[in-house]
Amino acid sequence: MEYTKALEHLDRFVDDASLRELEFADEIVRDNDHFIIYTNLSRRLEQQPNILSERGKNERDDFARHGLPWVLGLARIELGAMLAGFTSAAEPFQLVVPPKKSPRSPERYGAEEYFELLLDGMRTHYWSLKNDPEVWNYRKSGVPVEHLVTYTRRLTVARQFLVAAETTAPGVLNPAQTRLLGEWGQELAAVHRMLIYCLAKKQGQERFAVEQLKAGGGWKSRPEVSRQLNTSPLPDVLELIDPTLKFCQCR
Amino acid sequence: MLRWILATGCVVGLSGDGFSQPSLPKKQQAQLAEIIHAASLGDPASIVQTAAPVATKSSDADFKAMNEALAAEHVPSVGELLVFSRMRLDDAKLSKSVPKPSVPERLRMLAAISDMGDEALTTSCEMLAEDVTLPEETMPAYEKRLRLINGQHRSLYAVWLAAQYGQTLIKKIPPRSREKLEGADAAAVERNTPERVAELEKATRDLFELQLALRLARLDYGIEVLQQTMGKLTKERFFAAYTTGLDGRFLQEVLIAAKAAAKPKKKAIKPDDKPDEPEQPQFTREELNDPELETSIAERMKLAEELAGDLAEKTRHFSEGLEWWLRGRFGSGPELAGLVKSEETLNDPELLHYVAMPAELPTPLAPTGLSHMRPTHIDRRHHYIWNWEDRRLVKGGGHQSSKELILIGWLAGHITTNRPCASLVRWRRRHAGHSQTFKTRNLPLSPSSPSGSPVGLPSRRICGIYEGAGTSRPVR
Repeated sequence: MEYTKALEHLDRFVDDASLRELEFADEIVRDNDHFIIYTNLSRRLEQQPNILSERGKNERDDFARHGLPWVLGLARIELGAMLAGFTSAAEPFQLVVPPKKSPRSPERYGAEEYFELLLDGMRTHYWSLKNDPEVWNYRKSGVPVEHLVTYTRRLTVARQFLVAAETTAPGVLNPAQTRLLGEWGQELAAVHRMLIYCLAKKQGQERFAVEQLKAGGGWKSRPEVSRQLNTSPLPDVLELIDPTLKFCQCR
Repeated sequence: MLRWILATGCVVGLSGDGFSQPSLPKKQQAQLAEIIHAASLGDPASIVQTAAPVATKSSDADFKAMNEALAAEHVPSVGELLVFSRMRLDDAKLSKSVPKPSVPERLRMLAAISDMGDEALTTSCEMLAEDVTLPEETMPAYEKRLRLINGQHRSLYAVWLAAQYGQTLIKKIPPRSREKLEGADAAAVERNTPERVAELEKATRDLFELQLALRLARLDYGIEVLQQTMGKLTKERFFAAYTTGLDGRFLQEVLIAAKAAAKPKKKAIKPDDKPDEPEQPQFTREELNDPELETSIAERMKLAEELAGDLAEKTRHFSEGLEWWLRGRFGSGPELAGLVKSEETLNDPELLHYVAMPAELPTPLAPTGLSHMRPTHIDRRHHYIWNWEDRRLVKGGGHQSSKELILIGWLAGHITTNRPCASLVRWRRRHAGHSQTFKTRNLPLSPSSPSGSPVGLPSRRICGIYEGAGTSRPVR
């Protein structure tokens, strides 16, 4: 709620303010250290620099960013990520892109800063998952029950960042960068699919158990139970997309 | 708890990032880890369960070492943690969920209460001595001063409530045990007197009145700035356009609430009775007792609005936006290491408006390594929030307790709301004994109403993108 309210007021201010007033506002924000925003957080996780890595403005760039556009950008990213993880919004980051200054003007205040933070978020989520050996071992080891919801959400957020990076500013990324983004997207999509597959199976089991208990039938013998499990069509659909899912060790 | 730590793969603070205290024996290190973990979760029952044995069984030297280790981790002392956790459980009527405090634990808590009281009173006295004088009359100077006073006021308020709790703790120490007390233990009881409670109450009231006086002075200064800068746009004018409205509204609301509180209760009217004269609120400061003050503030606000023109509305949006942003970045909810708000917000949307803010806003550090990620969720919340599966990890208190928990200052910091909150005002008035309100229609320009609590913000050690279930570690 805090970032929503922040954007509500700050966007209104940006809309109404004169150029000079915007400069004062920017100066006030710059003068206050609480508003410092560090970017390129992903560099701590990146295995090696790549074409999507953030380059500093110069060799001594400490990636500390100051100013109203950065403040707005961070609020948008946090809000977008929250919408991605906890709502069913199909394109969460589209809902928070910087608005146009006027319907006719293509100018969007803080758009560049927003996109930089978006890319940083995308890289951080991707590399964090990439460095997590358990995630890439799920097919063999199975997905621990306590990972099902959290990791599905984590992958959802990461993939939404990737989608937003691809769609928010077409033309900003060069073809090689877009291609790499696509590869990352496919990698994450495969894990995500498996998590959803296991989650759907697990939910099927739980729903069946609850139905049985409500009906007063209690637990039935194991072979009979297993025949009635997984009434959801989702696992079958996912198996059509990726037949190897059948061999996943869903616990 | 340990099971939970292992289940999430989140070895809380034990992963060599400066947490371990080599000076402590192994057993105490383990106790320390448990206390810090419970404190970071903010669950009062867990805190009591982990901290009470330490308070009861430790020798004075061990107890001191433990408190020093906690301080190094920016976690309040064992005594402070116990005081505020037990208060919170009492408020939520959940005190039966934990063992009753033993006599040694009571004595440790009493010692903590008197230490907190000493510290809070000393700082408050210094502030009161300075009064409304400023080194230079500028908007940033006013802003800084107000921020400090407001923070101290809230700290003091929390300590005052703790001192009241101290009185109930003393009553439950059997007289025979009390007679046998010696040295520091006897002093802990002797220092917690009803007079001390009254002293804390007076200081709380005085500090609040100082804040009002300072706002009154800033309102006048703001008008002066607006008059002097007519037709020009300066930074001072930009600030003044907003603060004049903010201060005026704040003062008006306090005066109205104070007047309502001072009104005599209705009694049966007899034919020869004279109608009751409305009583004026009684403040210690003369300038606040002026019967014309309310009217005069309204007039000054009108003048300021005319002088500021459309800049008043624009700066209002700017300032409120920044305040909400700061709350988003630094604010903590009462659950899950501060990442989320209470689940009671589902039943009472009013609670959505409450977040706890650190006594002093931290300056974000350059994230050069994992050890620099404290407080953790300042960099990006979305790095951490996905990790919480549901709310079952921590069982908080009831509906009322959430409000009270915030009010007693458990979660260090200022709470502001832009919505009227009658029940909170009532609660606070009942407990504070003087008129005061949280109701501020507009949020401060910058964090001018933060505050602190004596317990400070618990060190937050949570799992996130860097310490997920796997072994994500930075490569470079």
